[in-house]
Amino acid sequence: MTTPDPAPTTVAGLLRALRRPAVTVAVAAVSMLAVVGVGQTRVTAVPPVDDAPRVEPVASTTLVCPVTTATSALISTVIAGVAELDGVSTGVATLADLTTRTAASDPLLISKPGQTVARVFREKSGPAQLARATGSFAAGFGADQVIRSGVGATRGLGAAPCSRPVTDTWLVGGGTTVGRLTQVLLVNDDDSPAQVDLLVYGPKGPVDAPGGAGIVLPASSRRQVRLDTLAPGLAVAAVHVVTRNGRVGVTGLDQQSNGLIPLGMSLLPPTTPSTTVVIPNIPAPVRTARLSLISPDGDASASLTLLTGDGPIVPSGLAQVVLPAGRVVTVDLTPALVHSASGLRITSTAPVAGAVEVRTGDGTDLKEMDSAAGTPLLNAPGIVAGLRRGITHRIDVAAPTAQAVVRMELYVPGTTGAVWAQSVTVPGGATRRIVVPVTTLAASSFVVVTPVSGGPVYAGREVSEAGARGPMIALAPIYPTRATTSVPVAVSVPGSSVR
Amino acid sequence: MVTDVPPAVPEDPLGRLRRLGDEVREITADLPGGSDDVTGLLEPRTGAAVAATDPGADVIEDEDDAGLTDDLDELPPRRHRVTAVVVAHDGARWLPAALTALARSTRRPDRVVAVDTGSLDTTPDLLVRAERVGLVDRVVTVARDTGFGAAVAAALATSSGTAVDADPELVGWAWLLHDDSAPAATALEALLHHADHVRTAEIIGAKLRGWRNQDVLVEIGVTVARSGNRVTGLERRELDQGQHDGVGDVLSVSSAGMLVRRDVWDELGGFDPSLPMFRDDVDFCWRARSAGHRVVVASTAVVHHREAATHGRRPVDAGSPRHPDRPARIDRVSAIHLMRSHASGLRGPYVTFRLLIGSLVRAVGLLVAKAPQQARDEWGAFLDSVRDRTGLRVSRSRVAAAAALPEAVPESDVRTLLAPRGTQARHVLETFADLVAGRDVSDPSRSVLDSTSDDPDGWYADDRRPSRLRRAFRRPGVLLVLTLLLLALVGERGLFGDGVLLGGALIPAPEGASDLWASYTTAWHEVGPGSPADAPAWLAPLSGLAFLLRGSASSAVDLVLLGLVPIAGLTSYLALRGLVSHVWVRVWAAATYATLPAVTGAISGGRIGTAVSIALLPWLARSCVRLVGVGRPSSWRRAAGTALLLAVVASFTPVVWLVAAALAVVAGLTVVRDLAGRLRLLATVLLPVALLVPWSLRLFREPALLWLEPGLVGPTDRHLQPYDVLLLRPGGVGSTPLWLGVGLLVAALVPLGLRGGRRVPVVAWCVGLVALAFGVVQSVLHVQVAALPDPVSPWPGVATAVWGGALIVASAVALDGLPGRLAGASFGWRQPAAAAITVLLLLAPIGALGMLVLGVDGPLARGSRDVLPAYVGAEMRTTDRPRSLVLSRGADDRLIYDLLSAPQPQLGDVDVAGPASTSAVITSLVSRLAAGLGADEVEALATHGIRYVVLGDARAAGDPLVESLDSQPGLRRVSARDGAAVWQLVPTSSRAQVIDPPEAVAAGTVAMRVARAVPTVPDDPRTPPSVATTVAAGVDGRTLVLSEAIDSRWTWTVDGSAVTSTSPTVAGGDPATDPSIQQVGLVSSSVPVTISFDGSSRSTWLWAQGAVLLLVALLALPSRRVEDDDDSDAFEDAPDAADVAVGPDQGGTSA
Repeated sequence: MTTPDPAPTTVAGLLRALRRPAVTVAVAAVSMLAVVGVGQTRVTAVPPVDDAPRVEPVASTTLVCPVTTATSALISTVIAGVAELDGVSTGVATLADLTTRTAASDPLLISKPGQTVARVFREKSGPAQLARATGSFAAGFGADQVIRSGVGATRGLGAAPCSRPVTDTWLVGGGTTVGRLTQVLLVNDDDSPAQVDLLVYGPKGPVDAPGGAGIVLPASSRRQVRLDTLAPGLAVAAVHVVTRNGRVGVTGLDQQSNGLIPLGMSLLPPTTPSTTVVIPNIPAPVRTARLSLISPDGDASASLTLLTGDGPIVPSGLAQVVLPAGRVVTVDLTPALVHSASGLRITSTAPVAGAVEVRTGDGTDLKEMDSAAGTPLLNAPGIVAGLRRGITHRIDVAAPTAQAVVRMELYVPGTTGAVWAQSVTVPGGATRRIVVPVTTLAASSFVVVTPVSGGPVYAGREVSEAGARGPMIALAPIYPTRATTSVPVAVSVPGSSVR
Repeated sequence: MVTDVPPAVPEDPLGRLRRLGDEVREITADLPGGSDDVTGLLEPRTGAAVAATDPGADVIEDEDDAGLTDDLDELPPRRHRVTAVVVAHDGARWLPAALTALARSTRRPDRVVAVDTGSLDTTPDLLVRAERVGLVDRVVTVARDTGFGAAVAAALATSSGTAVDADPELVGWAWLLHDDSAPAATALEALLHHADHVRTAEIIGAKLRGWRNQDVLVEIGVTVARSGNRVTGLERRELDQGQHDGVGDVLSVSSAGMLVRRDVWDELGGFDPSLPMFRDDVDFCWRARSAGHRVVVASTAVVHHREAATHGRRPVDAGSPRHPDRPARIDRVSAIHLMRSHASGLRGPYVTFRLLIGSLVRAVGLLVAKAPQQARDEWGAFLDSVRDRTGLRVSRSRVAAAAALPEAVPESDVRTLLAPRGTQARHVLETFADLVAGRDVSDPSRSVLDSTSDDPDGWYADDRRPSRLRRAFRRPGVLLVLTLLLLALVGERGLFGDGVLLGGALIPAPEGASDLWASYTTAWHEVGPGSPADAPAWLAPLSGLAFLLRGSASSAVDLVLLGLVPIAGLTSYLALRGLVSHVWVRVWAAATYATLPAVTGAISGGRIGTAVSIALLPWLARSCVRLVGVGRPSSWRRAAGTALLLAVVASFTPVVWLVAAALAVVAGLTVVRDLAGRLRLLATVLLPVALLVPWSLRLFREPALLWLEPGLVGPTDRHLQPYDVLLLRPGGVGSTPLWLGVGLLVAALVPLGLRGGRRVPVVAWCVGLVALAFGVVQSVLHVQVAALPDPVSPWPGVATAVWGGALIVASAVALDGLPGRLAGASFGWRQPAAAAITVLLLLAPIGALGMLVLGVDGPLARGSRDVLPAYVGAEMRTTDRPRSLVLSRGADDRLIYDLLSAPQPQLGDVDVAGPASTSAVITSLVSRLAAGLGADEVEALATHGIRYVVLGDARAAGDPLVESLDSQPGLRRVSARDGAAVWQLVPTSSRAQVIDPPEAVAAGTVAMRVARAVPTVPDDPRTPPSVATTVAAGVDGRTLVLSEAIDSRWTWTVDGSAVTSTSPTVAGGDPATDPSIQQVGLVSSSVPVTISFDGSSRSTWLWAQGAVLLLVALLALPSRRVEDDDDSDAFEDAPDAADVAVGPDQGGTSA
């Protein structure tokens, strides 16, 4: 604790000096401050660690397609394709029957980018289809399912993308009144059984549906559950699909008829509750448009904004919708809709799930219906496969908050590069609808919608077929592909499980 | 001198006494060693003193003890003839007093015969002169080695056969006295009164009291324990307040003052010559009891006894013992002889065996107590006794003869008078408890001399004092600890209840102390992918504490953390004893220390290392101060004790060892100037290194650990600055505001600026500055620990505690001297300054306590050990021994994972974890898994034995991590508790498995991993797994994989021959191989395989550690107390007698 005296004559002299009280105090104070002062100059920040997540291309993508229902009048088609995007070079993509992985299967193979494969089910329902891509093919991979019936009580058109299996999702729409058949199509693509609960909600809140609890799907199996067997008499329903074990691919199939007079058919895409829900693809003109909303967790207050081609419109009288917890609330949007297609933005105080059911067909035309549900944000290219001539394909892009630019490209197998491309600028709060000029006859073209710049965009599509007795329409969301994923930095901290 | 009727009262008592006193003074005037103060025995007592000390004369008439009397009150007194026999052996120092006292007797013996057993001092001359003045009637001289019994027999022989003896009306008595026993004036009168009163009593003993401390009871009847030790039934230094009066029948009475009827003496043949010195009286009375005679104590008869031979104040020559200078050994020989001679038939060998075991146990105990000479005596006594077969035979025949007499009673009746079983054990326990409680039973400051005989209040002082409990509650130290306890309980109110303490640096303690101990002893830790790291040494003392707390490890942690405030207060209060004189200053110092920010920070942060160190630091500091020779000379014992304490503290917080080493260098250069002292310092610093082997060797390999503590967690305050350390704040939650430390800092400087008495403050400052320096280093340092991926900033908790403790000591010294310095000074600037500093100093503990009472907040909480669903834990205990991966989200989008090999993480896991580099491959797999890349991560993790992935903080909906994992092929969501999500890996996952080579990937098909689990031998999930099975036939090119980190101590055999396992190569990986698993190739045919871990190398280290610990502990043990003479005093000069040890269990032996 001694500090050197500037000029010590002898050690003894130094020690004598140290014994003087004032000197001792000074030495102690100076030593103390010196120690801290030296420390203060050595303060360094904790060395930064590289913990930014890396972005890596995904190694595989698996999509399940449950819609393989077929009768003498009903045809289901499953189409998968690998778009010729940048970086999509090598890999394998297959469309195969859902069988146990050890059993032999008969896959349809895509070995080079730009190809599509399709499997069509006629007369008889087939096994669910598993669309899988590995390597860089995973980045450009998309699969769609279309169901169509030209005649009879089932007349109608439905389309939905194949989706990734999930553990928790919602189907909004459909009903269990007389003449209406809503089914939940479930697929377990794992090698072990899955157990699913279907929780049904109606206009009066949760419905006691014991038949929906503990539905077991054996390994690699598909199952179709009729909603009217669980909870009959619901004019409008919402189903919460939640797995106890495993995960499932989910799609809803909604058919309605009045005796032998068809009223339409639609595929219900799964949707996830959120405080901001955007439904970009409400077509026009339509006979009726009905919005169904449910707030599962608690009472909510939702406000609606129509995203028209001319900008946002708040429908009169619908600025605020009160959503009691667990009740399916329907809102008639028909008076608010103008004669152009529009999107709908719902902002809510609590997470809500919603879907719009539109009906067409007036006068002599046969009636048709379809549903558009809340769509995930398009933050990566969205791929739609299986376009063919004879059917009108329209892409709806909504930019709910700020102006955004998206690029649309049409690919046709056998040609190099996009045969059609267009950049679309969507003003904030507006929706743009683009008709895709499909020229190929076979269901083999595909369109890629890529967000380029600007605010968040949501995309959906409308498929319409001009039938002899009136048009048939189908609405479907466009999901972003998972081309890349962010790989977080993982660190091993023993004992961290406690905290 | 023979008179027919003894005069009850002398005609002229005062005149006679004066004459006797003059004579004795004349006799003793030229004695060389006549320092024994005999005046107390000679001078007449006055007033209450007489009534209290010699109650005989007045009380005899009131004697009405139903137990004693034979209800023969109406019988007239008999006529007695008493022959007093005084046996002298080198007793010139005490003989004059004894003879004088005898002469003072109110009832003189009819005849006094003195026996000189060949004394070499002035005893013969004294006796001759005593005979000349008429104090003694006859002097008999016998050989020097004559035993006491033989001497008495020789004396009695001189008076037998006289005409008076033949008178049938006369009752003949022998009154045995030693040269160091002085009867009270009324002793004989009282004894004879009893003899008349209790006609059936043939042997009557006196109440023996001390010689120097005359109020101390020495004996009031005596019995023996089964070990042969004398049992008096008295407390050490018990004052005679009549509490034992009225005790009637006893097994035996001492030969000092024993009044025995002549016919009984003759019938039994007197004392056993085989017991020349010790236990002869017990043997005689035991035989008398067997023969049907009655032995009683007359508590009104008082004899003061010096017990000179017992306390080694003269050599024992009787019976020519081998070791005349070791009375303890002779006593033990006699004790063993006594018990063996009274055990006949089959009982003989049994008693001998029992005594053998007892002697061995005591000898070992004495060795441990560092009394080798006494241990040798103990064992030698047994051998001596066993060798003396002739003596035993003779003694047994005497016992048999007594039992054959017509009035004989069954032996079992006599044995009921032996000391109850367990008496000795209880005595030892009580003595030990006294020692532990710090009640120094031989504290000279509380001698009975303090309560003089002339001060009646003195005797009863204890009775008038408040009860012990009430006294305890009035002591400031007790009040302090209770207050701190209460406030701590209030502050920690949120930390009580069900579950275990966890959070911060604390991983929950396991169920039992044995689990903790097992994690210390095991060489392979089931943490992460398995770790061969040396377990930290602190696990050992913590397990020890847990064992003390009925085997509950969590109780040990609770005590350390939740009890820290009162414990720190207690230890610092005790450690300041002697340094700070004002008790309230001590209270302030202890309260301030117990509420330092480091204390509250340690509790909030769950830092048991700092907590234990803070609790022990005051004692360590005190021990270190003693080590450098302050207060009393240093010793090697002190060095060993300090090293032990330092080892315990350093095991929890190694930085204390660094501070101690630095201070040892400073001390070696300044205070300690001699070679031995410097060597002691060196030993104190180096011994902990040896004591903490093999962990200390790990510290050499991984010096970063020197700066850390259990839990390896840095400060919760990322912006800690050196000036925080200066102001005693180690950072993190639970710290008090900075300004609370300012007062302490300023006040601690004050004593340095005062003249005089600066030694303690200067030392405190030296210690504090060294600690401050280390604390500052800790605050600016970032160390890289192998087990953790990121650099860790050490927590300077202990350093600030040492620095704060030093400031407290300096301030306490200033406060202590404040009144004295201000007393004489006129009013000026000093008084206000002193007042200001006092207020500042008081603020620190009051403010800190106030904040404590508001509640301890921080990561520390009470929760469950279970981090996994029950079914996952159960599956991890099966023979597959699968692992679980627990994910959580850290700051900055980082994913933190904990690979669990055992279902419950436990205290010490992070300290024994292997290097992070071992699990690099797993880390990469985990991040890819969380990203949902969809490649082969799941299968690779299954190869690492992982079967479950748990996300503890899964969000209800829209959790991207949950969605990623949900979409990962091969991961299957399974049910979990609320708030958690659990996935099961679908591929086969087991700790040991046979994996087939990958199939050729056909176009469009998915490559299948085919694996088969190999069962491990069922065992505790925390022990390394072993495999002993036969692998069924399979395909070529398959491998047997064990998901344990590779280590040379894993032994594999395939088909009976040893093989070496290898780490698999990683295709294109950054580390070329994956050291977290090991594998060997297998042939396609069925083959027996074994895998096991050989942890014997650690056992060897632990045995070595145990040996060092034993050695140091023996060195550090206090030596056995050597002085145990209750009747000694500071003035007695005894150059001829080495003090001997007579343990409390040996009682006072009459001799």
